[in-house]
Amino acid sequence: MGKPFERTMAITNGMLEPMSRFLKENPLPPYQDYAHLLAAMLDHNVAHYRDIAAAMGDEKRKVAMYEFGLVPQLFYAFDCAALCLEMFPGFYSRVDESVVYEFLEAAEEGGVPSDTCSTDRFIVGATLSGELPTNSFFVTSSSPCDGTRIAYPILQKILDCPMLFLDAPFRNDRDSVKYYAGQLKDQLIPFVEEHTGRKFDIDRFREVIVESNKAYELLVDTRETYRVKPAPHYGMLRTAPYVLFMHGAGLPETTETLRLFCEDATQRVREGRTEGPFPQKHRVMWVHVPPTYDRELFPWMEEQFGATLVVDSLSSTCVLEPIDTSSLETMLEGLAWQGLDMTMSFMRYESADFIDFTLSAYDQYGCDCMITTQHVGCQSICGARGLIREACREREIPLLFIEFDYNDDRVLAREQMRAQIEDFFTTVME
Amino acid sequence: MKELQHFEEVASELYNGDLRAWKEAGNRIVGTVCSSIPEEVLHAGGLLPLRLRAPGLLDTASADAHLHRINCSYTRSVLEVLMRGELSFLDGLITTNTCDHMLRLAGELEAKAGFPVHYFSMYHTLGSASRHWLILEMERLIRYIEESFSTKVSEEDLRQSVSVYNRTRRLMAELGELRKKDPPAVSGAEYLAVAVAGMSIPREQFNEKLEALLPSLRERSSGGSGQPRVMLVGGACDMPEFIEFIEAKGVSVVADGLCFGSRRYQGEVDENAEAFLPAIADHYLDRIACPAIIDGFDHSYGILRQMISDWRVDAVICARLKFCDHWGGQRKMLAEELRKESVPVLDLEREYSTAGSGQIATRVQAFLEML
Repeated sequence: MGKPFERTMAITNGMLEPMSRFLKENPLPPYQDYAHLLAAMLDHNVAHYRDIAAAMGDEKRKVAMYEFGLVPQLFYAFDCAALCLEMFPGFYSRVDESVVYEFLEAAEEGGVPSDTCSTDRFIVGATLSGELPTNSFFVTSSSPCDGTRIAYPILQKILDCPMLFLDAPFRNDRDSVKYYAGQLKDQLIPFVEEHTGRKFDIDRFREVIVESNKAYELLVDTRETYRVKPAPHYGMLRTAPYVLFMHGAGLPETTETLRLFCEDATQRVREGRTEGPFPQKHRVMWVHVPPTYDRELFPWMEEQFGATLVVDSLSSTCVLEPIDTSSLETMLEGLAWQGLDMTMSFMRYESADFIDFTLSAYDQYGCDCMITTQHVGCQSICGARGLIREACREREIPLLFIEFDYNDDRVLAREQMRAQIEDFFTTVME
Repeated sequence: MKELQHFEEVASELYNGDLRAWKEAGNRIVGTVCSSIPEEVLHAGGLLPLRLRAPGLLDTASADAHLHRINCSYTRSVLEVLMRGELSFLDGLITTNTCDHMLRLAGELEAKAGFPVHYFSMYHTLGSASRHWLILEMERLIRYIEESFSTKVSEEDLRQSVSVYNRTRRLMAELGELRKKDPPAVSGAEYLAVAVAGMSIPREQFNEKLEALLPSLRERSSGGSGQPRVMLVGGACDMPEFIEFIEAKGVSVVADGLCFGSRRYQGEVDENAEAFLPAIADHYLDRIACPAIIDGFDHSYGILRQMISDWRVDAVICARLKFCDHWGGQRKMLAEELRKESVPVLDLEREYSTAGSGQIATRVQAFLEML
């Protein structure tokens, strides 16, 4: 068993930071115009992971490990470092798939069934392998899925650690937001107070929310530019603003990184130069998770078929309002709403609502085809297959289902996945 | 046994003779898909809540084209019987989101049912927030009942229904007590048949029949004395044949934590409560929690541990449905706790309609030899 967070920092310092430096010094064609954005994203990640490592060794701070049914602003208001655990597997699968295999196998040897979602197996395996940060506490919710609902109780048993369980309502209305916000007030704030040893400071909380509202508006403005035909920014960058927000909403450095993305995209729109290195022929909506193990997939789709990913079901959830900062209640309701609807928690939607939302995003971004992944650990998206297919048939939307494991390339290798996509674009879409 | 025959018969088919008689008398039946949906509330609206099952179904080809092979065979089976038109006798249906399988089944049922469907949003934690949510959901359920069936549900209706359901719980507790004997008065398969019958016929009728049955069981023995005493836990299991298959290997299934079995009948609702929805909520939150409840393990384990002691259980069999994450995780935690108590656990993966198989037989046999 290694030292906590050791491997993560080895990748951060040994790969991400040098990669960013290299991109700044050697912008590679045909993406040279975007190298500064890619580098900014990498720099943000480096700062993010270094902050977690720093908080591990700081007795005045804590690492808040939270599940992807929450957003991080409240943790930042308590000066915590924050790690969304469901984003953690993708960190490794993008750079070193062997670590993913190792953690998945550790979880299975520890008794977690092999058909459980690989994200949750990864988290349990990383825990058993001692990789998770120390000096930490956990907050989880009951959404989005069965996998998280078993992973976190198992984590708690393994680590015997402080963990708060929140009940995410599986409805999509005002009462639900109030219900969740009530738990943030009555349970989450006292829990974080207890484990950080700090009193909740509403003024500091408001500062963080004001900052996250700035980031939010930049995120929404950036996404608005993707409606333009052709959409600005190439595939590698498409989901970056959303991921940046999810990691760092409320931090000034996140706002500044998002500002770079937004200004670049809007300037391209203003100047009529949104065309990327390859002509845009198709506008793709990607439903559910993309393969984290094939980071070149979207640029490859653009180069080979002129198929640009313009919207994905996860990051297209940025359709809320900025958070109202007038009172504690309004701020918590805003956080609750973001936690419920901007994260993977949107998978808690009933099937009809989920499909309506998906089709609405498809229309708003002017798509002409849909790729829906069937992550083999996700009973929710797989179970929605029949109704998605029926809805697409009714609307005559060309649809490709890809069955895979989004973290584990042993289930469907890159080449096999790309072969399915190639068949789709060279037959159905021709 | 002749007295048990009626229970076994009604458990063996979904739309049984008692239900047909109920319908012919002009009454209504509403299907449910989860034991955490408070049936008392439906009963208070004059409806017969029927936990949906698919006895005898061996093939889910139509449902497989809509749900996915990684959705559990219980949900695919329920969708299959709907698509075959075998639920056309229902007047309504309550779906829920206990797990992802159920959530997506709910979408399919809503799209295909052809009669009023209500979505009951399930809580996933224990505590005051969930209690509040559960009460809100019961209020929504009452509105559905009143609007769909042009009826009213009063506090007095709820009180009467709670009384009927508590009577069932007391009778089932009495039946459960008879399983403490060695040999037990009823086999595990017989107990499950009775338990399933309780959710398959009008409740008042069931109570009368069970009350009449109990005296005849008090001096009865089932199976041999000194056999290993087993507790069965796991996901949707409504097939007495499955337990019969296990018991045929020379064990007595004396206790269970099944949602089709004793878990459904545990505890009682406070009949002296000032308001019944909060009292019903307290009852449901106090039972053995479904593994979908993310902070429910310690609570559930405390109850199971007491049952293991009271029923002198030698070993636990966890028969979970394939692709059920919740039971997969629960099994892991349960096995680790029971290891500390030196109680062996057998992990069996099964499909909903599987009564037995060569593989299960081999694994059970090997487990018993280890005991």
